[in-house]
Amino acid sequence: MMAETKRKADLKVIILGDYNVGKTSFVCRYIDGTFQTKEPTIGAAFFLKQWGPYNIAVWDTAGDERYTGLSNFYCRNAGAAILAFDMTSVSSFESLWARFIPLLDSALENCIKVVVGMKLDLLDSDRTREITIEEATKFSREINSNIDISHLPKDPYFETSSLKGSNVTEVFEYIFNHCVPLTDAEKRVAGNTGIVDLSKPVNDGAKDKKKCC
Amino acid sequence: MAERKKEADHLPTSESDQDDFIEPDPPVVTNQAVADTFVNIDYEDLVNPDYDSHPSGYIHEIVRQGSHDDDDEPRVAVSSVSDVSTGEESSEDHTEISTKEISQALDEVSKLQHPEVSLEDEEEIDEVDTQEWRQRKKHVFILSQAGKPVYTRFGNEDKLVTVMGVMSALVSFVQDSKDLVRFMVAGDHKFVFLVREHLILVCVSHGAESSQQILLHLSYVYNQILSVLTFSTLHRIFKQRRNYDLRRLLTGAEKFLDNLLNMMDTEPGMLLGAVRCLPLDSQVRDNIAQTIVQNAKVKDLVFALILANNQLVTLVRMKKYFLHPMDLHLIINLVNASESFKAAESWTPICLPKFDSSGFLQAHISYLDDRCETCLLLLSVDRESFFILSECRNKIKERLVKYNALKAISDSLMKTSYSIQQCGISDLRHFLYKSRHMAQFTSPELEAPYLSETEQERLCGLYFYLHHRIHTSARPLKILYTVGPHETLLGWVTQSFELYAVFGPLVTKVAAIQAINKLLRWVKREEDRLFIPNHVTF
Ligand SMILES: Nc1nc2c(ncn2[C@@H]2O[C@H](COP(=O)(O)OP(=O)(O)OP(=O)(O)O)[C@@H](O)[C@H]2O)c(=O)[nH]1
Ligand SMILES: [Mg+2]
Repeated sequence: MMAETKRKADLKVIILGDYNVGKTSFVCRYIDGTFQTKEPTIGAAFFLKQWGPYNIAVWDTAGDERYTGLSNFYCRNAGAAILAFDMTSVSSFESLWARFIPLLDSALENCIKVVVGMKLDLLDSDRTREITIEEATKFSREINSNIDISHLPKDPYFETSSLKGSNVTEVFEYIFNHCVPLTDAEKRVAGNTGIVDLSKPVNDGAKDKKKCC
Repeated sequence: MAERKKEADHLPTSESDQDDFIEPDPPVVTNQAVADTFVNIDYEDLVNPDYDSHPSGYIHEIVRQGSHDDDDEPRVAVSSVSDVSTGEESSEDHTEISTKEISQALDEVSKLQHPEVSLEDEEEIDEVDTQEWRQRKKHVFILSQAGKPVYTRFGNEDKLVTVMGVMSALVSFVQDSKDLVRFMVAGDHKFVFLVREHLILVCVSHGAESSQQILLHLSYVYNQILSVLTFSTLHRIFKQRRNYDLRRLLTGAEKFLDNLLNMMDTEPGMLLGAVRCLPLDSQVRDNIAQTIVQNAKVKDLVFALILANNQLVTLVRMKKYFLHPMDLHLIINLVNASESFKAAESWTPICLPKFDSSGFLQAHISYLDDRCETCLLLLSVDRESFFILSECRNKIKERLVKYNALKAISDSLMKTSYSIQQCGISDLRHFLYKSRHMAQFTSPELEAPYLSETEQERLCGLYFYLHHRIHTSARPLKILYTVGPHETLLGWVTQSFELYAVFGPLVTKVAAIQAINKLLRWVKREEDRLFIPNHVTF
């Protein structure tokens, strides 16, 4: 079975986080370049993304508690995990530690864990930030003790808005550059390598169509 | 309503206006426990989904005088009602339950009916206190054995703590006397209880359904919960903590319950324990099934099926397993209630309680067409088989496109199924025909006079009535002919089919019988297109 997974994809990225934090919106913003209100995910949804010569498998999981025990399959051999929380909800941040980090035991040993605060745009309106940048950054360093983060261009923590499209592509490219870096020639085909740059216009990254529909 | 009924299979010859007509022949519908197979499935089997618990079969009707009508029944009377028996008759005497306690409890529950009595929270106006909430036709409540709210169809569970508490008190009060409350009648409301090992399901309805029909609906709801959690999980959780708030595990699953209940209000399939098939040329259908068989030869793949607009296109099964119609309805509900499968290939656990209530199957779910109408489901016991199934799916899709089968499906979906005119029978307005062997049914499009919502609801009510009268287990009927003010109804049940037909009010009995015979011939002719006689196996 593991052979199957490997044959199929060169990198497995899993997105974990409490229900309703915006995981599906985040993936769809990256893959489709659009934001539509999404229904809660049932089980998990699979996306295949081309990155240069690499096949990237992206698993968008459902955050509902009843699925927790079943996440093993999705986490196994993951090379990267996106740990998503809603920046206006403390409990969604706490869940990362309590519920989701333990699941990553079955991920690859050098799995990179990127902590991603979602719904940044809400902070512009009336909602208050519940988790400080320092707190989240510290957390993101702690959970990556398995890898040498000093080689990373920045701490594995991002604040994003799928609604506005800010910082979404950056998260994926941060991961890809770490796990499956492209040669210069490949890069030209694949597009920009993203370092966080909020001033950059919204990237509606979809060069590849989703796999189905 | 004047009624004439006759148990013979052919032309009725005598009439009876008695309501308590006693069926002399042995009932057609038997209560035998039958194996969970397509060939043997019958209605009674579905009414008693007692695969995990077997409540001792007392049925009590607790009649409470509605405060607003001049009913002269005793204030609280408990009587055994043999015609809702589940076949577990006991000769023990029923004792009257008329204690103060129960009437107090009933007073509490009756708040559901009386707007002037307000519930707890005085400060804000709860939805629960609104006229609108009270007038809902069919409430469904789920609570844990400890009385904790789990689900309400309308409103917010948190506002219903008292009502749910009373419901659980009622249940345990009756349980204390080693008995089981099944339903109560209060005014024009029925309170139907389904008591399972860890959950209590209550329906409060003033709709057209009979108590047994409501009970059937509740068992669908219960199975929907199992489908999301499995019985093992439910059991483990409540064993660990009786007081557990199950809503935590059901977040996001309420929509399945909502959707199921809405479907049951309008779709006769669940009442009949049968699914509707998408009309298709039988060769095309065979072709689709064979494509699946050839391209999904995967160990541990138990069922593969294609659904389109809540209709079954094809089903391929492992040789030794059958897909029970109740499980199939849960699958249809899953697909119908979720938009999320349209975005990407999904891999999700699903428990099919009739198949195995203790564990999950893993479902690969994907749409095969761009318009997201044709949905393929591959159900496996192997949690690891996603990529293999994903490959199968791609091959199946490719072949179906090549053979124009996807187009045939979408063409069939474009056409409205069929008009009653096509059957060529005057006076016949609408019908439901269920093949009992196949657990499938067919019915024509709804046409005038059943176009408005209220008329459709009324028609639905007629079918509920007809179905109820025929399947009343104390005196099941083979044929029932009923003349009502607006239409004449004819129901006919044999070993192989169930037919419920609605005629204009002026049809004569002879004409109706002739029409039915003609209709049966028509169905026979169209059978290949409307039904799937055999499910292909891997
Ligand atoms: N304002 C704002 N709302 C967002 C953003 N991302 C998601 N949402 C909203 O948050 C809700 C949940 O989004 P989903 O993407 O379905 O969340 P999820 O994490 O996939 O949820 P589950 O699949 O149930 O685990 C939806 O109503 C989205 O419209 C965002 O960046 N900004
Ligand atoms: Mg989601």
